[in-house]
Amino acid sequence: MKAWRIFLLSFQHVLENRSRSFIWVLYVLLPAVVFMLFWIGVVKSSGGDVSGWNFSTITSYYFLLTVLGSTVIAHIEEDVAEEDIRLGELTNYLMKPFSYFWTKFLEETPWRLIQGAFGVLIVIAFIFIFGNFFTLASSPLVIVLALLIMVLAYMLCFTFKMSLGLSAFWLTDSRGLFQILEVLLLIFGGFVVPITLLPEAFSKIAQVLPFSYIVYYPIVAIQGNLSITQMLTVIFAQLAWIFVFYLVYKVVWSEGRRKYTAMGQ
Amino acid sequence: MKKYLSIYKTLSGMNFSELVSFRANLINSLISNLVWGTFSILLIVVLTSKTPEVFGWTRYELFLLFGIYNIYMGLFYVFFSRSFERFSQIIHLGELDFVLVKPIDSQFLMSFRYVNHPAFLRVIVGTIFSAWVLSQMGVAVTAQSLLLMVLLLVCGIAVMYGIWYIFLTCLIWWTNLTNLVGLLYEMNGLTRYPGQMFQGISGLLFYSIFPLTLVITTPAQTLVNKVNYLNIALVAFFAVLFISISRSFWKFALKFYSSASS
Repeated sequence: MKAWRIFLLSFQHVLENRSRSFIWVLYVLLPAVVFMLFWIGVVKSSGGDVSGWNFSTITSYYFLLTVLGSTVIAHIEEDVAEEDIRLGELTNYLMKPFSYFWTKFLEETPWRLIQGAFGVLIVIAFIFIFGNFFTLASSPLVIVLALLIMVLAYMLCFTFKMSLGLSAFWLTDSRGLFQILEVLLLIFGGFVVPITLLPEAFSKIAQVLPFSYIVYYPIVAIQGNLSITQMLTVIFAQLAWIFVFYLVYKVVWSEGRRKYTAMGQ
Repeated sequence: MKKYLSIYKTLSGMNFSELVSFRANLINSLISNLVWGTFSILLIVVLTSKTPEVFGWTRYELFLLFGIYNIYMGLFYVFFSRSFERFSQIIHLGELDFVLVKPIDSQFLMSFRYVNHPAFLRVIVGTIFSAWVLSQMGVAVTAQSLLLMVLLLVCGIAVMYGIWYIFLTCLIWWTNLTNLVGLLYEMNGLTRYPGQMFQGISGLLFYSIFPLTLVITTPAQTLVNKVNYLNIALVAFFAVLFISISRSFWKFALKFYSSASS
């Protein structure tokens, strides 16, 4: 009940800022459309097919990227590092009888839901105009598994970013670290191109990093490009990565709290 | 003019002192510029990995486009990024009052108050990469084409400055859109792609972004001796046009500024 109340209060706050949420969706949409236009050119100049990707799959990939990028990518790390740890807001959380991790989760989720809703509206408009160029899974089982992969992708991203944000307990300024990881996410997560279209060396690296389980695999799952066995493998890998990052979070949180000082609070 | 150059020199000195006083911030800024400069190069390597040519541009020509984009973005960041990032906050918190009461031009202070020195690193990355690409292409750069490219870069930065300033001026009415500046950064990214890429989209949208498609492609073409005089004239025209509009629009918008507590 208390969790629900925190969620509703956060939801109310997000609704007050819906115009800002829309701008954030455009952050994802604009580069996605640019990459899509570029790849359409590549597909055309390659005779209609590049490594198994055609006009239809590439356009749907980038429009789904807009939805996924808005829904599953948590942007909690700067909030944790700057507002909570550096400026001392963490004290307010420590005084309350709620878990810091889950309170932040309930605060972040409404942002993802609203931005995801904007993303879905954009994709619906796209399907309405260019329906012939859009491919989605049709089997109910595949759709259910794909939705589960999306939820786990959000959990994975959130846990990863929370651990990252806690680096501020030790670093005076974490922005450099955040930006390095942002670039890794963009390239190896599938933001720039689907990871099967990366150069071979990059593609191999992407397979062993967690980033592709946040963006690339949820998209190809909802497109219906994965078999049931492959989807189950993805779910298993996502759960394993969530477990790893949650352990990291627990260790860093436990050690970091001892270093935390909030002067003047 | 002399007065403003002197003020800019002082502001730049203040910014530099502040930068070197906070070592962690300096290191982070350097890392950040190096990371994004490298990303821009990796991006085109990745995008062109499956094709030798796209939209009539060869792989190395596209590399050059991205190299010049790094130089251009580095310069834009040095002179404007920090001031523009603070723009929304200044208006949202009513700090514009303190800008308006000062005996200097408000647009000048809003544009040049902060200098981002570490962004020069991005200019260096872009210059080294562009020089390497030109050597791979076997292009002999003449002093004339280099000078023309520099002039076009200045005009290109003026075009982007004008467009940014027009959008940011709208914050006087939409004070809570503090994240607008991030969207403008994404818009800058459009400039590094060949104009032909956008010709497939609807007419109105294409013409809306047309000036952006000339900003980088025109100097790049000039450098490889594919001079297009019409495009050069258009870049110069758009520079004057957008600077003039930004100036008039700012003066108009200030009539509606009501501070934070009014």
